[in-house]
Amino acid sequence: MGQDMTWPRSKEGRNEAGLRGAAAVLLLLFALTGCGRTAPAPSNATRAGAGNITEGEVVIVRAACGSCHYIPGIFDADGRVGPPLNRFGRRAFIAGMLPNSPDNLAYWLRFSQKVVPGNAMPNTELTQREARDAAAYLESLR
Amino acid sequence: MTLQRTSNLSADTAGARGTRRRPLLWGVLIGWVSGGAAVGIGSMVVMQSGLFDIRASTPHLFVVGWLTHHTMIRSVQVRAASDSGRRFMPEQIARGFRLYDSHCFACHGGPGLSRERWVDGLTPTAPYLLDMARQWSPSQLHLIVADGIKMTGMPAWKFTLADGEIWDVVRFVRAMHGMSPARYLQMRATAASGGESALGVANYAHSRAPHPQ
Repeated sequence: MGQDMTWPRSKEGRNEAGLRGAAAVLLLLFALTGCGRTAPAPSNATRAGAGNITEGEVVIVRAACGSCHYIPGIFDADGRVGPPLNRFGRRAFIAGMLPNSPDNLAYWLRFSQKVVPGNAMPNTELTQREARDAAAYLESLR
Repeated sequence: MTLQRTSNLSADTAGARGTRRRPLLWGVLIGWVSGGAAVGIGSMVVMQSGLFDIRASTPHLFVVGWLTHHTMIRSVQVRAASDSGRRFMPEQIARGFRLYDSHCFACHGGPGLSRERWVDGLTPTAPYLLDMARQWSPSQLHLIVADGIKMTGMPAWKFTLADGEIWDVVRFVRAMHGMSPARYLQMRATAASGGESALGVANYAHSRAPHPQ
């Protein structure tokens, strides 16, 4: 506690520290309560008819893709069962079979067992909309 | 807290040097007490106002997810027993498979096989377990299965299954690391026809597990 005597040194410093403290408290409050996460901005849609990247992030968390794949930007998505999905938007092929496109990726996510029967990735039972959103997120990884 | 400290400090710098110590100590004390009170009152306000979004339909914020997840990981690591001296028997895989397929499959799925659709609605959701042998030791897996995980959908199975059965499940989950979908379905067919003991011996030779057992 002894070092506290010299902190903060100036009046400006004090005000700044106070403001920073208040901002930190507010941020923590928002973080703990979940403010601002309920309504994703519609501007996140990459283009009309394409999937929504923000929604796709939520779909990927919900479907537990991360228990088998490493996926940048997804919390705890650090699985080593399937291939890592970093820079997926730059890949040429999906599962070495389908040319990489948002439509093909959405199809693969729903019907991977049709594309490569007996492979370790299950048909995910996502809806077409969810699959498009998840595909939009993965294609955005560049 | 900041306010209390700074007001004391300004009085401090204005005053004589010899009388510094006591007001500062008081300031620090009052600062800590009022800071603690502010945290307490703040928590009550957050709680009473319903500000925290309890709905499972919205995901955890990164901070909340990170804190709870790492709290869980550390708690399991600290509480799990040592693995030394534990031995597994080949036939445990087949017994564990039967238990897994009937008790665990709905939420955790299997190789090439999807879990139930409604599990997507859990927050946090249940993971697929094909990578668990890499992430957890046998004793840690035993703790997770037997005692469950608070604030998730994972029940404590020790109230339903015998301890030996839980070890069978642990052995099977570890064997699932690198198990092919065809193998899983074959075990299902074999279990249905009642030939599980022969299956257990056969599968032992093919399963690979990263941890020594």
